[in-house]
Amino acid sequence: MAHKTNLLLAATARDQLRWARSHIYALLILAPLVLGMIYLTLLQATSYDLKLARPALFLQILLAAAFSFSVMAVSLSRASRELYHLRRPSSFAEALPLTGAEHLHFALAIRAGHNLLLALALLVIHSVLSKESMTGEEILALLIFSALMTVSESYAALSWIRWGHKRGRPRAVMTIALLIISSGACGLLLALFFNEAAAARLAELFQMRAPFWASVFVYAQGCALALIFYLLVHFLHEGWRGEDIDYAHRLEHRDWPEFNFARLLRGRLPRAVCALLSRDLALSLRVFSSAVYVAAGTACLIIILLVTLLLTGALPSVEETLGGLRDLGWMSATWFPSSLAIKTATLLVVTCLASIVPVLVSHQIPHAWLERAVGATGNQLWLAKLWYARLLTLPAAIAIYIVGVLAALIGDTPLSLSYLLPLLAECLWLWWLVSSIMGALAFEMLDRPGLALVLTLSLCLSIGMLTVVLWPMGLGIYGMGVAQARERGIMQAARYLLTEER
Amino acid sequence: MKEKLVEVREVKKSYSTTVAVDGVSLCVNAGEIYALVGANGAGKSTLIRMITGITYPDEGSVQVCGEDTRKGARAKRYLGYLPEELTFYERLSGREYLQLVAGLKEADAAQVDEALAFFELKAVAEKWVGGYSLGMRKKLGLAAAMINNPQVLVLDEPLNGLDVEMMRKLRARLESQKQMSRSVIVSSHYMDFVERIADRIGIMSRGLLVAEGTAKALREKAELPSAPFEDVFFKLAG
Repeated sequence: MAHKTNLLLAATARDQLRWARSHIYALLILAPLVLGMIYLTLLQATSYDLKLARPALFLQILLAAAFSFSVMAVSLSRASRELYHLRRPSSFAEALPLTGAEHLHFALAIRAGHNLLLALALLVIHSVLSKESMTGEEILALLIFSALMTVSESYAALSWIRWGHKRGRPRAVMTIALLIISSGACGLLLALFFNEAAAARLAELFQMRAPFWASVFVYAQGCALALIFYLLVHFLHEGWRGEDIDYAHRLEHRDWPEFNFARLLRGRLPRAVCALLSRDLALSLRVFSSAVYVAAGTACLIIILLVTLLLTGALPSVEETLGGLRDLGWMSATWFPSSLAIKTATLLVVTCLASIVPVLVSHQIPHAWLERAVGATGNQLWLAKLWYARLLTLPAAIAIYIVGVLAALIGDTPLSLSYLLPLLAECLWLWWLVSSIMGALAFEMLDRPGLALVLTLSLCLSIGMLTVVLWPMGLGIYGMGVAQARERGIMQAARYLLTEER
Repeated sequence: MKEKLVEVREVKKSYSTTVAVDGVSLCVNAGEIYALVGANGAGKSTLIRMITGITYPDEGSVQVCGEDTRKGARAKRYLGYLPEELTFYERLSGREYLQLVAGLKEADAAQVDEALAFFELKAVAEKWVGGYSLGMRKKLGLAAAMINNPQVLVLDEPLNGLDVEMMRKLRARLESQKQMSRSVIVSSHYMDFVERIADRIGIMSRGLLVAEGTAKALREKAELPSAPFEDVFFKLAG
């Protein structure tokens, strides 16, 4: 029985390894670079005396359980795809003489692989947060956590597909109850993994003689639950697979209501522009290039840096910053160190994310026949990229403002409360200015995408820095520059449509 | 009397309010080629998925070589299936893919070379499937279905993407399956091909098997003795 599962797993692994070989640059250079930078930044950030209190054990368990439950919910679609081979190369095995157990074990092995990656991420976070070295018990807790998550996710996926066509309320209630129990057990395991004092506290709570027995209790109930869930999944999968597989396919093809920013602009922009914009945003959300990971990773780094600066009090004092400047009353708050940090972070993140625009244009060149065939105009193409840059970066700008203000308030960094709204306006102004410039220059130097990226980034950063310090400067630049960039951009886009030469 | 290799009894399959297959019964004998024709959405693919045991009927039963398709993988040992929508491991070579299928079917690995040769895939056998054309993918799917020389071959739209020469070769291969007392169930929109190759034709419309018989019998039923078979189909499918 295991032989056929192994054959399928080996084929999947070979396929994935060959994929990895063709993305060697991203995997061996870009990913370690970005992940390494994030790791080192986290390490540096946690080496400061963060003004954060560790929550009570009960709250820790509750948060960990909520995290586990969220991961189960997020994995529903993926786990059901693995169970029923939906849109997967292994779907051919459906008509081959494989037993239900062989299909299930294949799916569980793939799921376990994903959960081991999650465990690896948790391991890194643990090594960053804890000054002590990892113990064997903690690793054991993590392994049991991964096993329990794997079977729980598969159980959730099976039940979700069943719910899709049977709508049995009692079964749904039972499923949710079981998943809550499983999440609770995962929460306990995570608490043991992250908090070395958890076992002692639990022993006190359960009135046990030694912390060791509390750990054993948590491990045993984790293993028992994993076994129970495995048997349950095995039993349900045998019974339901043949009946549910078509519903799983239909669920996959159903049009899920998804939030589409482009929809907000319907009526304000031509329909063709909205269609192009929707496509571009969907491509970005589905990570059309490793550049998306790099930009998102760098943006995360900047946010971590901002939070660290605001929480640790590493910024200079208001007096030091405003020393030689004339007092402008409440308007002076624009030069408060916290305001400048939040604005600079907004500029950097917006620039970073908007740098995906030239990469996207470069990625789309081989598929430009579509725009050519439907008779799209240069203006439509240019408008689509302009709004793409704006919409892609808007959530990040708002998020930085919120995170920045909260971090400043928690970290007791001086921030004028009366300037909160003007600060929001400044951040939004920076977002609008920088994303508009990046979008407007989307079709520049298509034959030299690297150079185009360097030049547009430099331009955006210099204009942006001027605006961070003195926001009215941006007004002049926008008024004079973007109107002319529009004309040029439309012309360049039209040229891109007319000829296949770059 | 010939042995019944496939027996479908009163199968019904619905998706919420849509009835995809509504009480269809049919049987396919050893050494027979049975063609299923019908418009898109008539229920052919759902019926085929039930015959191959991928999905179960809500009512009724399907038996392949005497084995109920609900009973796990046993019935699938007798089946070879070419789905309409082909998905492959894009980064496996054609040979590696067929070796995998042979392994899963517990077939002799020597059949891989034979299948590659028959479907003219030897020259590209070491290339990744991701680089194959539509026709090459179809040939690879056919080769995979035919590995282990199954008792019952189920082909859903086998001609899409095939060139004329390969169509002829495929027809000859299916004829030879017949000689070996194997059964073939084929679903296709190519009426000429269906008429030429099938011993019996089943016409499906809105989930029902509205007519069944030899091409000649169907022509007589439709009272169109010399018209193209397409016209016979339209008349009987309503």
